[in-house]
Amino acid sequence: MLSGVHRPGSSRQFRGLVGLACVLMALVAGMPPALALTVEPIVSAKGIKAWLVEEHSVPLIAMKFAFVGGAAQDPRGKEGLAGMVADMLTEGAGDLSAAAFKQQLSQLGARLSVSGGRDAIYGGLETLSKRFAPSAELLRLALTAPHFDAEAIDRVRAQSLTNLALAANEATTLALNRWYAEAFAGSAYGRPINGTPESVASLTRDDVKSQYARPFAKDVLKVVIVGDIDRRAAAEALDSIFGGLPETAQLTDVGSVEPRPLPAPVVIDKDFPLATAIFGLASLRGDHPDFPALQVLNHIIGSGGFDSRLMEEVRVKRGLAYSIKTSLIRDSMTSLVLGGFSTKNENMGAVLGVLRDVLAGMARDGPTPSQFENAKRYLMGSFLLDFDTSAKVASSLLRLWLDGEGTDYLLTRNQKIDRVTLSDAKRVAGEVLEIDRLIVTIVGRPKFGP
Amino acid sequence: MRNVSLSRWIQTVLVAFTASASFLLPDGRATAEPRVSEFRLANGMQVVVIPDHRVPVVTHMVWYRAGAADDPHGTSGIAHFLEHLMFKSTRRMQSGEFARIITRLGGRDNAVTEHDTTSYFERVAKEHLRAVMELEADRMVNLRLVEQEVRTERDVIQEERRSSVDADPVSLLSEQMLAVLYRSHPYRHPVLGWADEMAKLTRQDATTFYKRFYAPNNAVLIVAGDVTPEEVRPLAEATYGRNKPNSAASRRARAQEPEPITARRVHLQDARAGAPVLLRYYYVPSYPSARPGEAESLQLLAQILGADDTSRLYRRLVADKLASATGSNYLGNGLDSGRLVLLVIPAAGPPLEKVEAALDAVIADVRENGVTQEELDSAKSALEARRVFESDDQTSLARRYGEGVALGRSIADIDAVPGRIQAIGLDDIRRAANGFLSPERSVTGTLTPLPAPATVTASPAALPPKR
Repeated sequence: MLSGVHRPGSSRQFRGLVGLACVLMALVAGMPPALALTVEPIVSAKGIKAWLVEEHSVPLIAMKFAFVGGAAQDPRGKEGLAGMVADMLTEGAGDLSAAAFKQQLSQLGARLSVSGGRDAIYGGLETLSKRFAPSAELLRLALTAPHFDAEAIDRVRAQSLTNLALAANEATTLALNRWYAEAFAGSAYGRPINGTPESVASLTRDDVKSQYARPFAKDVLKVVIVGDIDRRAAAEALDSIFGGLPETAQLTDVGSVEPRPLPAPVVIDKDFPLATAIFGLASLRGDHPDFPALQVLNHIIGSGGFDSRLMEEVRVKRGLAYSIKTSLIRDSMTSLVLGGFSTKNENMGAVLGVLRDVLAGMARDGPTPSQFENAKRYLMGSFLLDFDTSAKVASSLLRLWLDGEGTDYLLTRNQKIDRVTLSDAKRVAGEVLEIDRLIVTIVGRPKFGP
Repeated sequence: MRNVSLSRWIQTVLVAFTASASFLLPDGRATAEPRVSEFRLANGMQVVVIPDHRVPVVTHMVWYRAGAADDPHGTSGIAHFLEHLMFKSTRRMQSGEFARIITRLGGRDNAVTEHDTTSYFERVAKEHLRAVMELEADRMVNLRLVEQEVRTERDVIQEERRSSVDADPVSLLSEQMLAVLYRSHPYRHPVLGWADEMAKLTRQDATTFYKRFYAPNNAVLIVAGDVTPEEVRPLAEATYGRNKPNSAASRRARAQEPEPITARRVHLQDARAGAPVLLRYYYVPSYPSARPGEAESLQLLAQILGADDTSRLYRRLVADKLASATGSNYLGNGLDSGRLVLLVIPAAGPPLEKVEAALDAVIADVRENGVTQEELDSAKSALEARRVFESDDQTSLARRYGEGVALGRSIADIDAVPGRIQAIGLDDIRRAANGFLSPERSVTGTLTPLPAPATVTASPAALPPKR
């Protein structure tokens, strides 16, 4: 039993967010070890834009892609539609029935996935390089010639409903969904990605077909390819997989959104022995000149390591929680500082008190010089650690691209961190950590008194 | 299993203790597999070096031959508690210093306690390898436990149990199933420990466990990454080599598991369950305990039964609208035995008994008739690809050899697994299915929601383990 990981991974929902934040951490200070990765921007004959990393030492190819759009494009009342469309792509396509499609994929040992995210539909293909061509053909069929059989739609809808039922009492999911609903009330962005039992039950084959026609187009597509493939073969693969897609996506402009502050924590009453909280604030956009300073600050406050302020105060000194951490979330629509923890119901008031003290103290005084230096050294030294498998390299690069970075980011990242000064960090702490604007959602029966 | 967003806890049940199935590429590309080398220090510590020069990073791990199945009677959770305490002070280091140093180095670190092993790892830029070796060698022998820190950390492990097990009915069900699957062997006790015993763990319990098991001659060092054995040897000698071996670092003496004679069942009704879940565990051999070919056959069987949407379970249960999702795994890395795990998320509507009957029919069919050549070939192909994905991941590689060597396997044995899997035939599969997937070797677990919401009746206290 793989149990007792000392420094906890966060929940599945959260892991996506945390993974995203990890990508924001950066290259080595002073003497960066030469990054062996060379990222090459390429454009195929049919105009597909991609980033390529050639890496021939392991015989596999990892491709990650995103069609910007995603769950925020779901029509009102049809929440969960983007995820359903994504699920349906691998339920039969071209001249292959669902069973035949899956049989081929299984025999190839390829990993093909498409899923609906909040701001984009994400996909990936990982395969042995010697089996790349037939695997890529399956991906082409899935994207361009899905069947959307009525019977498969009924089954996938039922499966989605079961998944919603399974997650109905999952504290982190509940708290996170409520956090987005409160913070982005009235916006398409605040709705649950996976929908509600009511919205999913209402999804029809016509809904799937009409939604499918909107986001899958070349102009909103970004592709990253990493592995045992050269530039020419990569360009040909891009054309054969994505070349048949329409030029332009039909998207609704959701615009950018800002979280709306809450005067007091919102509690979802559940008779659970533990209370689970999600807390967060508006953050700086990724292209803001102070963003690197915020990365340093976030590390000091909530990296989840034992030397981060929240872990030190909540876990190491007081034993109040197993884990408490914060992440910087950014996508095309918003930027957030988001964190979470679980604690006994009777300790919720104490942990929230510590949380407020840590944030207020940081806003008032900034970090100490040694915390500040350690965090910078960590961020610069650890960047490389995220680039350890082809699939992770591809995912990390795709995230950077979606965040608006260029292929030179790998080289400029550490310079940006290195330039942050202690007074920058203090100033940004005062500007961003507005404790009165903290949005907190809690699942459980928390007690706030002493 | 289709790519449904199953609850993370259900995934935990499936992936726990995962065997690293291994496959050679038929086209024999040397680059797919690392050239692993091995040597031993004078104090008995084994060292394994796995070169991977793609990025200038190293993964450093120390594996101890001690885990939760070595917890002395009545102190379940002590191996895991000690793992937490290893991040406190030593005779040379202040409490908290370890984390600060790793941070300054731009490194990551963590530790994992399992039933048979406890492992500590760091990932750093290669020039910091010496520094992490100094740190890890220090805490191998110089741990200094302070009473107040021990007490606070005991609160933390109890929080960990509350948030990762008690808060989740599937984890609770799984824990109870293991307590029933094993009648005598200590795999019946959870790695984190039983809540009541965890609350009573002491500094002395931790010290006793530490002195008994933590020594160079009871540990395996793994260095994977941008290094050579020639670089690692002098560093290992200068750091770990200074630690004295402990002749009392004892071999483990564990209770034996009797041959099973009855099928068992566990049912948990829990208000927090959003939908029913059906789990089945089979008590089977593991790679370290199996006779030749058995573990490999079980690995392939698990793949064929439930690995993806072409599997037997999916085709029979999901197609017939009895199940929403299915899954399987072979947990083959136990020192003394393994488990084959099957998971069914029933569809809304059909009664649980009907779903379970369909599961039993799939098993009965495979036991009687075996599988098809096409299924076997497809499973081999899928596992071959998985091996290459694993070899792409430095941490997975380090785990593969660290865990294997810590369990007493040789590098040659670990590397031979892919070839042995390719050699498995239809008769082997049928023999394994018939021999090991029998009802008396199994425990069936069902989780159902309470009809009325918001009252929690099940807790570990309500279902005390038999000790």
